[in-house]
Amino acid sequence: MASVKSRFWNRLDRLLIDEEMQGILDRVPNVTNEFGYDPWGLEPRAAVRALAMTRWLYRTYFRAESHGVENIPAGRVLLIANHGGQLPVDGLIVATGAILEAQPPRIVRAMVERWVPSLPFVSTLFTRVGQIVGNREDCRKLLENDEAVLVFPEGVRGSGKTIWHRYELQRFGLGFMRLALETNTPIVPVGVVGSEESIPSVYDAKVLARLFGAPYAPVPATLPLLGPLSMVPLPTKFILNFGPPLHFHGDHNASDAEVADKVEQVKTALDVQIQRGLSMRKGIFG
Amino acid sequence: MSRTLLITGVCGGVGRVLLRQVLAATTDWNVVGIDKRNWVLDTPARFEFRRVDMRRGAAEDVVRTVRPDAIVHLAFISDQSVSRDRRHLVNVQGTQRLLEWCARYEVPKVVLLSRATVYGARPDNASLIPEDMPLRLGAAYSELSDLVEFDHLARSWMWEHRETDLVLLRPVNIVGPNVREGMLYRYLSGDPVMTALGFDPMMQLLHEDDAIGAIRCALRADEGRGIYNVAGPGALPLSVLLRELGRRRLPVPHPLLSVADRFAFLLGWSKLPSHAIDFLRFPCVVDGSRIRRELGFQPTRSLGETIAAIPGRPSILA
Repeated sequence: MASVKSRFWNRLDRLLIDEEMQGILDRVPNVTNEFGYDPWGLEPRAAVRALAMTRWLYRTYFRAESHGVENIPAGRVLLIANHGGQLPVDGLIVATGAILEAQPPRIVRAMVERWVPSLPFVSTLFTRVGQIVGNREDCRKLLENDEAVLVFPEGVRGSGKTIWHRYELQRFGLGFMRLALETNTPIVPVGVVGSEESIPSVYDAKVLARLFGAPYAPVPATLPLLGPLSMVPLPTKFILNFGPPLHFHGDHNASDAEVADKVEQVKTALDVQIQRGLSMRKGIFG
Repeated sequence: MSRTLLITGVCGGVGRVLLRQVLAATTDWNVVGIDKRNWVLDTPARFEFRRVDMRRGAAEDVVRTVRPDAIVHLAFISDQSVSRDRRHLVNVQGTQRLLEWCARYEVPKVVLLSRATVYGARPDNASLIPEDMPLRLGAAYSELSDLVEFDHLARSWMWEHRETDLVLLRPVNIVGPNVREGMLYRYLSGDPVMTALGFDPMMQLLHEDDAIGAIRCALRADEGRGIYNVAGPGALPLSVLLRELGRRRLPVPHPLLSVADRFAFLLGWSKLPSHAIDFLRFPCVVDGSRIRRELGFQPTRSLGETIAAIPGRPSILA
């Protein structure tokens, strides 16, 4: 049975992994043990396998463009992006951009929700492609291991917002800045354009959300037309702008007010990248 | 100047290997071993065996007369098929008495072996569990409360008795030719073995030689005291471990696992303790960097070697 299984994966790999993906697999800087896993359960081969799907989404479905990927430094880096569009498609596209376009290709690590590990299959998939459940301590260890970590400091405040507030940055959490200060990590702002119209929510049904214990309950504008399919992201045009790295110094245990000042600088730099992206596109789909 | 090491539970797998290695690698240590079981092997030089029960006054008299420079406490029942009362008696009360003797006879160093499993396998576990994480095994599985109680006991004793350097080690699954008990060993005795459908937690293994290496690091460290996770050379998914061992997998949807386990005896498998089911779903991966940093511990066996050291299935079950 074991050999049938590995034969299945070998065949799948021959089918899926083309020259570009093999090149990426050869160049990712991640250090793995003799069985091909890192301490967090990432299997670079699995991450590259997942590219077969996400690359199609990136190139064909969302026709994504990445600008300024050379701003991603080698070694540890925090990618700070705006969050919107109800489903975390933005994370998927930023991660795909970083592995397809950055030199060397980077496997982006992000923190997933705490209930994800209780889902069969999903938990295994997420772990193998480098996503981790964890707390600040885990994030610090990832950065000390020179990983690229993606953070949406707006959290659900960003992803749950309605179409009327698209590309308006919500309040930022401060945790990422304390981590950057503690581990001396450069911050690269990533302006994501396209995500915030992909599921155009016109109303956040808070009562419904509370009923299901969800952080928000979007009502997409396309609901009367598409029904449940309205939760499938529309093929909007994605433009990613990676800004120049920002370096911060200071005490990571400083007061919230002091840290908030530095966070405000990141927010401003991120807004520059978002505006640049917005000026680059001709229309939501073009 | 020669020093004396007292090993409790010396007849067990880890005890025997520790004895052999300490005698082979040092010239200044004499070893006294106690166990309620009988020592059936040859008695090497610089080793003295006393057959005493930890719960009797005779054991205290060994400490009183030998005045050891260090104690490694291995008289511990990790076999979960032993009744809960008995495990509590040996693991908690036995340890408590030993620690009382350490204080009374001013033993400078004592090394205790807890388990990394005390953290429990929970969906919201940290990805690399540090030593200061709360122990969540006991909350979910009262039948394993002796493990957690042992750990807490050692920890609070450590802060109360600063004149003795206590080192509490929390090794991950110890495997090797001399380890023929414990949850992982029992789990791997089946073929096919049950797994949770859609789950594939990362596992850590520690070769018995590296477990001994960690104990010897703890003994060597002057002034060394504290709690240390002991991780092996790396982590790998359960599925890969089973593949390497040539075990077939029988994936069962996780809500049915405990029911399936109840009928496992029909297929000749040994029953898993109920908490083992969570370990088939969620990872309990510890951060082993502190002992490397502070005590200079370095595993010597690779992951491949460690897996290869896992004994084959016992012939009675084959």
